[in-house]
Amino acid sequence: MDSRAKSSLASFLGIVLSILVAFIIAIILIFSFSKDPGKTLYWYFFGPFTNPFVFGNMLESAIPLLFTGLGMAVAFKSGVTNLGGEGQIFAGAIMAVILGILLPNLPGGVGIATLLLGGAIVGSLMAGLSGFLRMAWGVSDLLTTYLISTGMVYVINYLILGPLRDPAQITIQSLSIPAAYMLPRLLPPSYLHSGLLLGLAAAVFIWFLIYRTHLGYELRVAGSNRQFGRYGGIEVRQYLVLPMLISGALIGLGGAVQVVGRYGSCFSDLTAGLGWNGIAVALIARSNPLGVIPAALFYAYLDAGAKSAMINSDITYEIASIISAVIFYLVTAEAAVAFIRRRLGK
Amino acid sequence: MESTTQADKTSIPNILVEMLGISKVYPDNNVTANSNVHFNLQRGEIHALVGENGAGKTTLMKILCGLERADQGTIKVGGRPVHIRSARDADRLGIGMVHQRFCLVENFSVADNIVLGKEPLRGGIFYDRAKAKQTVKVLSEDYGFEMDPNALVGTLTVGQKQRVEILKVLYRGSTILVLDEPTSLLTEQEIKVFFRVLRQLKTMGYTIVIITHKLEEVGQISDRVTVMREGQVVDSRPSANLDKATLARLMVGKEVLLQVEKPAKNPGLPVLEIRDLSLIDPTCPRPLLAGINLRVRAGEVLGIAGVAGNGLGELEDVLTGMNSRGRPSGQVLIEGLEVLGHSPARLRRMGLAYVPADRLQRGSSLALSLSDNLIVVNHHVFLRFGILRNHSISKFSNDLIQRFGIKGNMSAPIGTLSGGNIQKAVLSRELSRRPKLLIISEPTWGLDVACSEFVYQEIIEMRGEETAILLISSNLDEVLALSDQVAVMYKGEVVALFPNVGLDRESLGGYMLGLHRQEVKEKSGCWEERAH
Repeated sequence: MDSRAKSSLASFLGIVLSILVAFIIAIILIFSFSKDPGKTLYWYFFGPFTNPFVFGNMLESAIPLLFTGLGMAVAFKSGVTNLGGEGQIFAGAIMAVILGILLPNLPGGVGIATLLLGGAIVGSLMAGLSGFLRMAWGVSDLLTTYLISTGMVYVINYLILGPLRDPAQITIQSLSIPAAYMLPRLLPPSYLHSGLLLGLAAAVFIWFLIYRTHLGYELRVAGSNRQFGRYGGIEVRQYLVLPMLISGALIGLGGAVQVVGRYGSCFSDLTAGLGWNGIAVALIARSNPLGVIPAALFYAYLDAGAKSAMINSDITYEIASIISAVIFYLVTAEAAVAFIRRRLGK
Repeated sequence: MESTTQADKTSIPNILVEMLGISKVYPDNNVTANSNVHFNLQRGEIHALVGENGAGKTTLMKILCGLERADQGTIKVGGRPVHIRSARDADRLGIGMVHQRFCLVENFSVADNIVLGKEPLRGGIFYDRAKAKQTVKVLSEDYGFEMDPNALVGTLTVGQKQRVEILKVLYRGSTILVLDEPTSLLTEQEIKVFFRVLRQLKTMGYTIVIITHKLEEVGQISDRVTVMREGQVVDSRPSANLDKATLARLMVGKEVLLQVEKPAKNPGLPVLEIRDLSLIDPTCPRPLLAGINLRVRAGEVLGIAGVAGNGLGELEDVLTGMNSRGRPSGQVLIEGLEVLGHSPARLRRMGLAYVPADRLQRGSSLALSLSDNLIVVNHHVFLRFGILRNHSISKFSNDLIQRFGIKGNMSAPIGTLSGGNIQKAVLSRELSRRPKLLIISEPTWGLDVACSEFVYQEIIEMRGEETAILLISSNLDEVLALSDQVAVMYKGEVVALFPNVGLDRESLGGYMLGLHRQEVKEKSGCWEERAH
């Protein structure tokens, strides 16, 4: 077996092994904390598939993770750090709302495209600013992405509470975009919408960009070893900014998709940790853009399973979170892959 | 070979270590590093293990220290057969190795570094720093090392760092010390101090192996010497009354050290001109480079020799646009155009090819595939509408892999290849470009004999194709074999420049160590006319 095949096989077996171990631990936890473990297990692992409604919602919850996961994967591949996912996805969402309110009379398709583009641009500029600061003055992008994002969250919350608030609603939320700008639903009555197809297309596009194009090649070189890139004649400085622009654009786009696909408006809890979960998804995917698809689905599945077990059985939110966390840690652990690689090596 | 026979061994009463019939083949590049090697070590001696690069000295010692495993052979310590499977096994037998490259934590203190991995503990849990300092202080006084346990390792000189490395081994209670090319980075003064330390250790009963390829050191420091060539022991005898010529013959197997067929030719127009190049770093007391004037013409090899730490690395960085330290001044011209301060990208567009001394961090990106590494300089060639044409890339990579005999899969990360093969990949990429100017640093470091010869031939061939070649190397034989002109650097200055006619190692060595310097009246211009 040549070394490449061996290496891919090791990665694959490693992930399978860690998922197996994770499930065994999850089962042990469920047996220790649930009075009716059989029922809990059933709902935990099969709950998301029991009817089209929950199944559709599970797929729907994977959509924003596709975008944030892709954004983070691009950042990881390019050797930059984007911890501003929360602010970027929120900014993308509020931009989509603002554009929807300002331009209510565009044809549906054009309107949707405008809103999505607006969201992507805002996210892109936010992350790009951090990239620029690092390029120009060597400011840590880890700090600036986080700080800019955190500040942005407060600004957007002000907009939702103040100028953009919808007085007709009891809950605090922004005005809604015109109904013509909403994406079609794929599996009513679930929330699943055609943003899923956009997310899948984005994954394929980003994969192609990274592995098949000139730009992607230079990104990978600069991201894996900046000194080597410089040595090889690549102007590596720009690759502190460019991957940030792409990363932020994907995440901002994810926020806009949440608005045109799911909510139609913006509210304080819209991000709900999606920016951070994107990092988790990118880690499970080992930063491979195509790997983001199964990773986002897997993450959404765990989440849906936990919810389903909470609703239908006696397990608490805390225990469900612990089980999800255990599975997540084991899946992202490189150790399993390394272990399999060693065994294959002999 | 005769002197390591059974009779010889039984006649020596005080044998501490015996290595019998040791063989080792590195499977990934099929290099036979050791072939049926017999080696023995007497209690309390300083034993020099000499041979050229790639002769198998380091491999043999790594086997003794548990860092490599022999395919065949047995090891006896104190007459008893032992199995040394790991460094820990060697540690238990009192065998410790000091590597050529230091493994120290720069921003830890001397004491912290020495006890690292075997720290004194308080209550079985907490690191007892006070005790560590005390132990290290006593240890260093016992051996006359004069080390401050509180000093940060990053602030030490190379010679002091080396003493920290030795203290690390002594701290672990080793009584057999293996030193891998310990003097390669030291200045002459530091070497003297270092040898004094070794003699002191010897009187205290330690047994020392010193791996070296410097002939003069054998007579200065060792009691016995074992010579290796191409993975085999050629001879083993007392060092007394052994002259350098005999030793050199044993090492290389022929009278002449290294001979490359180099056709005579007249150089063309200047390609690289360096005028009054200086590099000053405010944090460093002396200039890193001071008033350097050199030129390389088309079809000419200028070899720069010098001991590490005398500005060779800085010159390499400044000329290739990789410098990140201090501020260079003066002029660097490529075909008459000023290029000082240009980025590597611009320099490469002007026809520069560059093989850096640091292959692993600078010359390659270990996580990327072999073919991704091979196309870094010319990946623009493989584009159609901004998309990489994989078919052409495979073809190009395959060509290089075949021509340079790189053993590795083109889609596997280059970091999975052996050091020698990574080296070949870097060389293949740069040499295949047929550049105007080649800057090549330590071209054969880590390569076996056959590969080195291949690289030399490639360099000579490029010279024939009118490439101007700047060769920076700490390997004098290499510089002498390849160069048309030889410059010697000492403390950031070019202290001598000769045409390569009738030069020998000894005379150049004097310049390298700062014992002599050539008098120059003019700062710029035609060195070679006055150099006779």
